[in-house]
Amino acid sequence: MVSGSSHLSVKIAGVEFSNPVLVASGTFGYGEEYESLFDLSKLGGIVTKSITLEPREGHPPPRTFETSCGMLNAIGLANVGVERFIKEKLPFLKSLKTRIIVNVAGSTVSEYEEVVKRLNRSKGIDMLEINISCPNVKEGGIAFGSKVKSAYECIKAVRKNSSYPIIAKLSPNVTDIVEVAHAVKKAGADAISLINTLVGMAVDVERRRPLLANITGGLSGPAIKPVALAMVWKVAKAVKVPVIGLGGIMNTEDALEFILAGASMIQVGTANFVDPQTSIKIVDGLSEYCKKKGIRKITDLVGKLKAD
Amino acid sequence: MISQFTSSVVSNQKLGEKIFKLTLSSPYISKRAKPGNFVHIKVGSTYSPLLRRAFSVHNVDKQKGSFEVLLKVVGRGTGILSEKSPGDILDLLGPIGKGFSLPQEGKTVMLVAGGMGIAPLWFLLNNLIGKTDKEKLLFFSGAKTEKELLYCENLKDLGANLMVTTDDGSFGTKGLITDLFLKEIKGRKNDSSKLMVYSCGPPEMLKRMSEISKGYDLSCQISLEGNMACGVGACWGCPVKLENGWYKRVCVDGPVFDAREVVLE
Ligand SMILES: Cc1cc2nc3c(=O)[nH]c(=O)nc-3n(C[C@H](O)[C@H](O)[C@H](O)COP(=O)(O)OP(=O)(O)OC[C@H]3O[C@@H](n4cnc5c(N)ncnc54)[C@H](O)[C@@H]3O)c2cc1C
Ligand SMILES: Cc1cc2nc3c(=O)[nH]c(=O)nc-3n(C[C@H](O)[C@H](O)[C@H](O)COP(=O)(O)O)c2cc1C
Repeated sequence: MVSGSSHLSVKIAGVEFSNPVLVASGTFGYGEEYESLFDLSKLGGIVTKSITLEPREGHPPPRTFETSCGMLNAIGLANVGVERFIKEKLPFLKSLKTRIIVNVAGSTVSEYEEVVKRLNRSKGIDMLEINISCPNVKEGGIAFGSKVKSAYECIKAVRKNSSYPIIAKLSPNVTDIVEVAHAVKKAGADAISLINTLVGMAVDVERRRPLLANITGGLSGPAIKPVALAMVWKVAKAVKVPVIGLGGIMNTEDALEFILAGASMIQVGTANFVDPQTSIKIVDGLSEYCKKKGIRKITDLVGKLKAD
Repeated sequence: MISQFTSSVVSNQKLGEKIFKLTLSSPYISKRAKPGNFVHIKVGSTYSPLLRRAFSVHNVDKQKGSFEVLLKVVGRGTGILSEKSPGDILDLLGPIGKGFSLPQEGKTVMLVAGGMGIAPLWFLLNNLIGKTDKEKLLFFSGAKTEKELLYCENLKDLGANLMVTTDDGSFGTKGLITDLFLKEIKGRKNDSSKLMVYSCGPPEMLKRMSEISKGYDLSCQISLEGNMACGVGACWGCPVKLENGWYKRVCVDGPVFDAREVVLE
């Protein structure tokens, strides 16, 4: 059951959400970590940490480093693996009155397929988000998302196997994001989310060493918002598929920028670390904005940027 | 249970070179925090610094409904916090983490602090005094110089059981606190199973404490630090490697770990 004020409700790929605010993969764990901090049912939905076939221990520390108005991370897809996810993490998520989107990652196309097949048999999942854009693992992840052909093949294989609507999560680390967006749409993606993190690095000049053990990592936070916004705008304009925008969203105004640029929904990532209540503050903020401006439905605002 | 709340600064006291003690009002923390827990503080409202900063609970005053953090200025976040005045409001998450488990009766307790490592151990010590036999309580305190030694006056009440080193010899024994600790352990080799050790300090020191604990199979709990993002166990950004090759999160699986269980680089 999903409740909420109807002027904020949105429907994408046949799934109805009480509001357009999701929390982003990797920044909200399996939901349970934030249970004591606010009523999770107020969220439009929760996107889980990326789930792989086997449990992964992730990269050695340091895995995070703060940079100007942002942060680098190289977690290395540390997660419990699909079996333990289903047994230990999904029951809690299912108990919440919000939508559950499981993010899937893999090193090979067949790993993505296998994870999806196992998730098919579980109840309580509303959608899958396919991470073809993680910059922090050697194989898979970004290797799929950075090339048009492999992005197409991965999403095509997942589409064939998934009983759920799928969101393709795109990487900004490409020459032409519109081309990749076209490819995953053609492969059967029901929606597109963007952006994942931008490849970045930081150096300790005293020790002459990289500040992340993985040397490079993914940049997120307010620093990447302008990049994310431009990409959302380009993709939303060019491709007829619902777009979920993310990258540096910290408050209601940021969320509105993405919506005006063409995002049907938004995700809050790094901001959860700064203020765990960011997402529900945005839900309230969007509601207030609609009331103040006499907007009947938030969906009326999607893509309403006056750019001519 | 971790909670998010605002807290006002009661006082800000300069204790030494770049070292400050902030007293914050919070009945919640003063009642619930256990030695070894920490709070995650939002430093300001701008995007730089962006992430929260972690500080051990340094002491609590249940009557007044307040608690203390001891902080050393090492960068922008700690710099901003060091300039807070009474009445300023801070946004906090806490109490976070698994704290120290208290010693069983009859054990000899050793607290080994290096520099700012005294922050969580001071809270622990205040919990032990009165409960643990004074003869069976030893405090090791090490710092770079005399100026960076904290609470020597207060600790003197412990009598002969206070052992101090400074790197430059400006106070106490010249050398590292871990060397003095090792000497003590060697002298007690036969009753090492009767010891409970607690330690906090800079990374190199805790690495040494971990080696010593493994070597002598000591029950030793160390409080770790590390770059931290969420502070609530969600992001897996603050891992510590375990002997079995897997990782645990410093924030919610720690920050206190058995020194024999972890692999510190
Ligand atoms: C569980 C825990 C408890 C802590 N308790 C205390 C305490 O009681 N008193 C105290 O003074 N400090 C404590 N720290 C360390 C404190 O969080 C850092 O000093 C602080 O985050 C630095 O912020 P900054 O913006 O001033 O420095 P930055 O500009 O971010 O960095 C300056 C330097 O500090 C290092 N640093 C940054 N963040 C951390 C961190 N989280 N841990 C260790 N080093 C870091 C950086 O690598 C850099 O060398 C604790 C850390 C943790 C994880
Ligand atoms: C610590 C951390 C871990 C992340 N882990 C994942 C992940 O497992 N899968 C994924 O698709 N994206 C992951 N991301 C990317 C975010 O979901 C998001 O795309 C990115 O951070 C940009 O949004 P933001 O600026 O709002 O954080 C992670 C981001 C961070 C900061």
